Amino acid sequence: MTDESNTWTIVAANGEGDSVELHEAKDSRLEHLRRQAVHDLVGAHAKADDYELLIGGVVQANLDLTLEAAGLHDHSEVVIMLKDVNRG
Amino acid sequence: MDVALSNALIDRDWEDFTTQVGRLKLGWPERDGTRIDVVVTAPGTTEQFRAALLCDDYDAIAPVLDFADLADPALLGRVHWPNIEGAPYNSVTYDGRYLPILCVVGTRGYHIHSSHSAEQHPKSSWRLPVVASRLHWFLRMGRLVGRGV
Repeated sequence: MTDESNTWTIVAANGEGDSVELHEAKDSRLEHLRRQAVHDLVGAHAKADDYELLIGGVVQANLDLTLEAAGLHDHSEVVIMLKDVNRG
Repeated sequence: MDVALSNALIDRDWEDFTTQVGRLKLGWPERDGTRIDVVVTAPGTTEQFRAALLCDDYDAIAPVLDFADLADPALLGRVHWPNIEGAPYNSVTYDGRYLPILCVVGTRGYHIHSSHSAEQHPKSSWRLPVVASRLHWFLRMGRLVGRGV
């Protein structure tokens, strides 16, 4: 556990497989997690809304859920993926 | 490129690939030399498909994405592909046969298609973890409407 029992370490990865560790309160929202993941993996210029947040391979539709309510736990892994992949 | 070098480069990327496959709950990869199979399930169904990544000449060129018979992995081809509603399918002739492709950067079919063969993309576009993400993206593009494209 990162800090007492309220802060969790969450591993966030992008579609390239690059990953970062984020430290989030377990009662913070998935939206905050997505924003942090996009910021750290893509950059401050990137728009979080352009990315989907996946837990266990499933796109999370309700980003108002807390980490805990979404079934995450300390050292869980999530993935961010661009919503629109360029097609030829 | 020789097979030993391709295998060494797959070895280099293997852990990143299996980690990404695990994060995406795609399935469990099996490797036989430069071929990697992953039995995947179309989202929202119990239908399984055997994705086959043919990684000869990795990473000078992108892996071929094909699908194989679940019981007999030697049988590759269009009849084994998941038919996903809205997926950007096209086709090329590869190794003397019809190969369905996805019109998206990262698998060899795209890069050898006449519409895209002149494009320049970095090798990072088809690193194995990226291909895992592309496969996941493809499977959840739409409703599964059948087997074979």
